[in-house]
Amino acid sequence: MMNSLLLYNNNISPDFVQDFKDSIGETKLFSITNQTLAKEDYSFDSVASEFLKTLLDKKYEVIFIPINLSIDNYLEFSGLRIGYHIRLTNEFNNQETPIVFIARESAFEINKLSFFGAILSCPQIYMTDKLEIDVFKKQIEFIQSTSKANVLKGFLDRIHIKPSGNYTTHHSIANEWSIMRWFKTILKSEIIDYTPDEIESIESKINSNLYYKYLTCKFPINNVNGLTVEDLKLKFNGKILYIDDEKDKGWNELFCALFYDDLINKVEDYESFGSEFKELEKDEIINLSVNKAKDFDLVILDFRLTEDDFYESDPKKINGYKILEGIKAHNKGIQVVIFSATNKVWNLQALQDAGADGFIIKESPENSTDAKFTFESITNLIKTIDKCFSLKIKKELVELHKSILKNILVDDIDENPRYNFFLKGLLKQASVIEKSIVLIDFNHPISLDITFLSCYNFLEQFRDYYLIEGRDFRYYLGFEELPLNRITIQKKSPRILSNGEFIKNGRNDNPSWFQVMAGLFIDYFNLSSAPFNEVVDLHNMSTSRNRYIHEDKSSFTIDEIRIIMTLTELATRNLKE
Amino acid sequence: MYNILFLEDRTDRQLLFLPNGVDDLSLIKTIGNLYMPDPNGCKQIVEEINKQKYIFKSIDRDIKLVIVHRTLLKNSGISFLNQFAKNTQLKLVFFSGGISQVQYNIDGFEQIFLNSTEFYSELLIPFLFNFSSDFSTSILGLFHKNWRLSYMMLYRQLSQNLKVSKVDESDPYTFYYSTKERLKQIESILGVSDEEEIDKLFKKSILTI
Repeated sequence: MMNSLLLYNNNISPDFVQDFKDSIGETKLFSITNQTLAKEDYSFDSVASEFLKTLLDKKYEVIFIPINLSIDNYLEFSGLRIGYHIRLTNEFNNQETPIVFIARESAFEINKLSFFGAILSCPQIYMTDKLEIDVFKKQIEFIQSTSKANVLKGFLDRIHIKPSGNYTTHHSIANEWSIMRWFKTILKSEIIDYTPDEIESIESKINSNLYYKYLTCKFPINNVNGLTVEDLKLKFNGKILYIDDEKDKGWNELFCALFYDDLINKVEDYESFGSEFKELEKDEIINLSVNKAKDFDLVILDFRLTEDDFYESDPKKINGYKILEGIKAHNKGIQVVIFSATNKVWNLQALQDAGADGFIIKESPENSTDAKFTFESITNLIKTIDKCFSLKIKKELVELHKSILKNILVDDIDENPRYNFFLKGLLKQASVIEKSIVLIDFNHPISLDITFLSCYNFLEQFRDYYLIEGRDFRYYLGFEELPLNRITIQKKSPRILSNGEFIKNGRNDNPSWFQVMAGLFIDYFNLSSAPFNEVVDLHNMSTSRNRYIHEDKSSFTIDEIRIIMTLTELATRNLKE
Repeated sequence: MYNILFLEDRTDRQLLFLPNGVDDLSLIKTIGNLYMPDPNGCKQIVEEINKQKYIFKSIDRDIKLVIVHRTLLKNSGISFLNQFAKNTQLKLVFFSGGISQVQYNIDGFEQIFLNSTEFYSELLIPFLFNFSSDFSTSILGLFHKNWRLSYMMLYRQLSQNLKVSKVDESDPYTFYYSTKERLKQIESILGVSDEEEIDKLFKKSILTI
């Protein structure tokens, strides 16, 4: 007896089914009951996939299927759809088995009614309009004589499956597709050797949904560039907060594995947040997210966080944008990386204008046409996070700047116009400092120089305001006219040396920036009972600045930026006339 | 008195999908015997259905068709609707973004599962107007403007199978007799009583698509 299969439903004559069984091969009933339809998670694709699982171990010569396997609605062309499942199910041994569709309609007529008709023009697909055992047998004989090369490739080249559903569904497809691709790529590289439950559940969905099956066959995951542990190692460290309403769909597991489980990296802190968003009002989502972000160096932020976001066309009203705006309003130095499936330029532009520090694009199926896309997305994530960690000092600098602003923004305006002018000058220079901090970029060392010199200029205004040249060849500080001392630093085993009051020795003997600032720190502002470190820092910064201006120093270091910002903040603490 | 219960808790979703947005929504609201509650009213009715307490026939309603976003209902709600539909021929339309393949079924009662994009199509408003004046209108009209073709092809498939079936006069429940009965039903839906004529009608109709 021949080894063929007839799939049938209750519209097919049981006598014919019996004749097939007696003389050609196996028969299998496909039916969807009302109980199945009533299930909350019902989907035709799951039923079809489960149905094929019952045939997994078999291998047939030919499979016969009526193009309609629905009892009541021929236009569903569910027989054709089962044919697609057969071709696209890897585990099924019959991916390339010839299929004969039984229909009284022609391929032309079917194609007029459904795009599923495309399968009829693919290799090893045949049709018959006869329900006769002898005709079936002759068809099998003919098929056996034909070549069966490139069946799957020919099929994939000719057909196209459209994703069903609306934008939310599309977003969810992109999300699931992306997480699956990322995890599989990492698994292939043997860096991680387990599959979390969340991924297994997506995998089971992908293994049953026709559109996913099509994508999986069309764009198999290749470890083309050979991802290694080294590609995933972070050079810098910091605290990461991940905000995504769909974090528990696998991304959180993946980020834990990448950043926190010590398999590859162990960052200072990692937290995720967002699964509760469905229960919250828009304002609560934004406020909670911004408050949480305050404790972190880097926020990985999904763009669309609630269902409403999918219906909003103005990017500035979308929750992700609002949170970004809130975080940046609190501290421009907190690094925010947008993690999203959006590829709309106007969305990305709006986010960049609001201060986004990086973008990681979730892989939509349309991106997968590029075999390197997954590899590059993963390595881009690591590079982006490293870049953001390297810039985490910005957060600290912005905090110092905020403190400077608080110190110089005095409520009661002083009656002394010169002092008011001084404060206004400081305020103006403070805004230059703020802008320069945001622009710090290690790839452009001049950005560090700008910040350093902005702070130095800020402090120079102190010298200009507080230093008073007396008629007695002495110098005095501020409204109180405290005598300025001649302070120097002993270079070997640094020590502050005070050589008494500064008395001018000659025309060019003027107090240096360092001497004025040291005098202010020690005597005028009383900033510390033993301001040794601060005074040494002032001296070092002065030397650095002079070397940069007059000698060979090429640029300032981030440590020098931190020191001069700290000194600047300190200088403003006990500000007085 | 309303006969069509339309349960959708998100107006923004409707506006997004309806081909002519707010104009279509206003038009739907003009259908006198259609009741589409606001989100709060919708929530309340859904709760009653899920708790299996909703009353389909009362002084202000005699429900013949329920259209509902699939995700609003729990299993208990769906089986409550099914049970009532079985006994009264109530028709059911379920739609949602998560439904990947249309599923139409007339086993005991007429029901259809559609994806949201397919549901909110150009076919919706003509269907609602037709149904509001004729409760026997097939809900298949929501799925395909050529839904009559579905019946023609089904007829051709069944009659072909009938010809290869044995007649067992002793058993009225055989495939042969049940299929003959279904063919008669389809003939009455199409208003044609001859296979040859249905063949011709099919060939002619398909050319006009």
